[in-house]
Amino acid sequence: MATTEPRARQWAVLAVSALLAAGCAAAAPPAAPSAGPVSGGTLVYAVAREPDCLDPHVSPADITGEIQRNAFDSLVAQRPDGGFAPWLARSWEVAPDGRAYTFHLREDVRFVDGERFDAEAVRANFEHIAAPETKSQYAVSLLGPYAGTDVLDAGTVRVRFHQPYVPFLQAASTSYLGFYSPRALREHGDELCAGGPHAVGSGPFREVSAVKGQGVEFVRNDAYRWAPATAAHQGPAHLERLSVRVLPEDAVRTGALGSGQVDVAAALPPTEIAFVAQDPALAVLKHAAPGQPYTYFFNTARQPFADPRARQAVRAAIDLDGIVAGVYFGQYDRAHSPLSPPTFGYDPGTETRRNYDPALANRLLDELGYTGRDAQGYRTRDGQRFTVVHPWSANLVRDQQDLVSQAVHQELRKVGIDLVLRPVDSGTYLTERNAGRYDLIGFSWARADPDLLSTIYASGSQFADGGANGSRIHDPEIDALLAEGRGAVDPGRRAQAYHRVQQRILDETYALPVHTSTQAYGYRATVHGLALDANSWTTFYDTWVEPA
Amino acid sequence: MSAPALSPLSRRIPWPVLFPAAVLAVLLLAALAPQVLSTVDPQAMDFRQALRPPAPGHPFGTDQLGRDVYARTVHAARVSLAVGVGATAIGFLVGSVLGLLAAVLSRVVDAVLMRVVDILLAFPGLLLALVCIAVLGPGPVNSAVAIGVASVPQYARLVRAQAQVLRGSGFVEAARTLGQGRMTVALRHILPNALAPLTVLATLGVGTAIIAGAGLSFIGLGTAPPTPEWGAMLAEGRNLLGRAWWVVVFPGLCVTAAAICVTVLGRHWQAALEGRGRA
Repeated sequence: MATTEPRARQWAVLAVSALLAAGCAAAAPPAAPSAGPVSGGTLVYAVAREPDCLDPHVSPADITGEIQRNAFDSLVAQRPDGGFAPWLARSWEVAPDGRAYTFHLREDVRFVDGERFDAEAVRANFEHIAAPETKSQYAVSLLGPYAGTDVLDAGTVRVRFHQPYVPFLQAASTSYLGFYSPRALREHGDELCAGGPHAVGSGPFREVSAVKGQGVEFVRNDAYRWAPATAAHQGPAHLERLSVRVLPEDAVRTGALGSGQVDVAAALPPTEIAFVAQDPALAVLKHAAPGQPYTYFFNTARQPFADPRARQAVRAAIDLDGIVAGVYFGQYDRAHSPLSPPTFGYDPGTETRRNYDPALANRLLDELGYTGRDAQGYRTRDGQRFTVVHPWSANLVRDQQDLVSQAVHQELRKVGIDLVLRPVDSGTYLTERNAGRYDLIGFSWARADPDLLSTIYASGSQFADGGANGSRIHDPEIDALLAEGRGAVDPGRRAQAYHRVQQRILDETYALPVHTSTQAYGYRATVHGLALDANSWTTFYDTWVEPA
Repeated sequence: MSAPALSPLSRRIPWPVLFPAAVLAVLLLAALAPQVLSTVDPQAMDFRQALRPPAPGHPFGTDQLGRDVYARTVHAARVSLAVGVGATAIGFLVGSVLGLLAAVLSRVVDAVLMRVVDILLAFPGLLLALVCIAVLGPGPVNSAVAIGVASVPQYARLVRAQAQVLRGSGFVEAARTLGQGRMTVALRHILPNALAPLTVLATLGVGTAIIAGAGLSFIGLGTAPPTPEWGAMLAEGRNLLGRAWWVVVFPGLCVTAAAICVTVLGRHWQAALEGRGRA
């Protein structure tokens, strides 16, 4: 998919490719003509990463949000076009100043333990997330400038904020702000990370067990009558059982898909996508995830990258177009902006920037005084080599980003910069990262709202604050624009603010976007109705499997 | 064994020794002078040549970044063998000193040292190595230190046992009767005689250490990329086994060959030594 396509067209392409995949399935000889959804059956879904903690109120991990989507419902659902549809809330009003949201709740919703979902349950959940002892690593930031929740009556609840908080509906649509039964919060509040039977939600599936290193088992919630308006059907899910297995090795996961041990496999490696697509028994669902593409962050808080010319020199020295095309065999798109194209507020104007210019890199390095050369050909200034420390942990690497780094190493060597790829364990990585002991780090982040940029570029979002300000910047202009984006009720004005944030980040060379996060799922042709939500994560509510 | 039956004093080297020795000679050549075996830059990338199967231009094929797998396999020998030999040397030296001290000094020193060794022995070697890496940080030198430290207990145990046997032997008694000091006896009479079985253990240990070093690199805690190292090459190519077997098979064969050849030679030496001991 070309990155220039507007979001609506991306979804259209996605829908078409899903139809094509369905067409392929019908063309395969053994496949019966699909006469509509079949109820029952088990679907086995292989994921690549082990969730550290299964409590969506605590964990910031994508995998937790994705797995727990099956067990937890939200107030609203995000539509493919970026708008919002009713879910547990029938309707809602936003106060004119953007500081309060009033939700009118459905009255027929029950948690799988029999408890009612009502205004009090909303309050209990939001208070639980906001409570410091919960130690929420992400959900609390989705609550933004949260001030409190008022129960107006059993079916009406008002959420208040200290400042205008426009991204709240999007935040409320994520599983991180999903709802536990208040009884589960009361009785098992300290065991929620383990998931399993304590993950008592109101979702289409009930979580029966979660075993570390193996996976999570779900059974259908037969009482389910409150699917979001975005779903393809209403009533209970089609699948009777859903089994999520953790298979971290790419070869094992794709092998299990090919042999039929799993029905859907997440994170197909780029080398496999073409082969899976060619197999008549299999199909591929590929989509660029919204949020932040895989991006390198320059540590601007210390030398050498405190000097913008050093950052520009590195940017000019790397042929990222060639590297992304080569490492990912043309399957992933090059990223140009701090936001991925399918995110609201993405600025297509960033795509015209062309930065690869080794001559400029050499000129800037000369200007910086790195004119000497040591025995290995690296540039030196006052006898000191131009060294860039890039810590990485094999446990945290995905999408072959370690290979991208090796390619970058090679490019920087050509202009005389020594990129030190420092392998560390994941614990050390987080310690070093939080203490700022790095020159360059890289990560991606999925979220379907540009307010994500506040998590990554706001002055108050340093790692020590629980944020992810990888460039360690304190830029008042960006802070002001981010605040404007958060508070702007008018979508046009809001997008404009985020456009300027993106341009400012690139102008100042705080970060270097590498490739869009591409979610590639492989699935068996017997699987139908596999859908991706606004985060490009799987949802299995509408999914059904052909009986064997 | 049939070869000695023909002529025990024949200078003909039996093939079970010749073959592994030849393989090791090639690997040593790769470690000491890789440019003799390959003139290609092991880090040079060319995406247009990515994942090409073995062919005359690239005898071992190319990897995901279009790098020559043959050049990388050859250049990886230095780090892999250095970690193996270095780790064994560390374990050997430290273990020998501790074992000897325990054997010749006071009972208290012996008790303390051996309890420490017992504690270390209670942990699996790789776990000890990982703890060392966690403290020291990753890298080839630290890998050698970590694996070496993890192997100290077995050397210490063996040296102590040997030294205790030797301490009661006639020539040591004689030396002591002649008025030689405790350290002189230990260094001049006990140590040289205790070392013979130790060299066998050390030779066998090199093979184990090569595998352990590759293991640390495999889990991303050894050599920093893009420096080629067999274990790291295995890790990078492990998901390509179905599509591009050559990326993993050749470095894998090298780890296996190095470990097996060193072990075969070590066993042979051990057999020879025990034969001499009996004679």
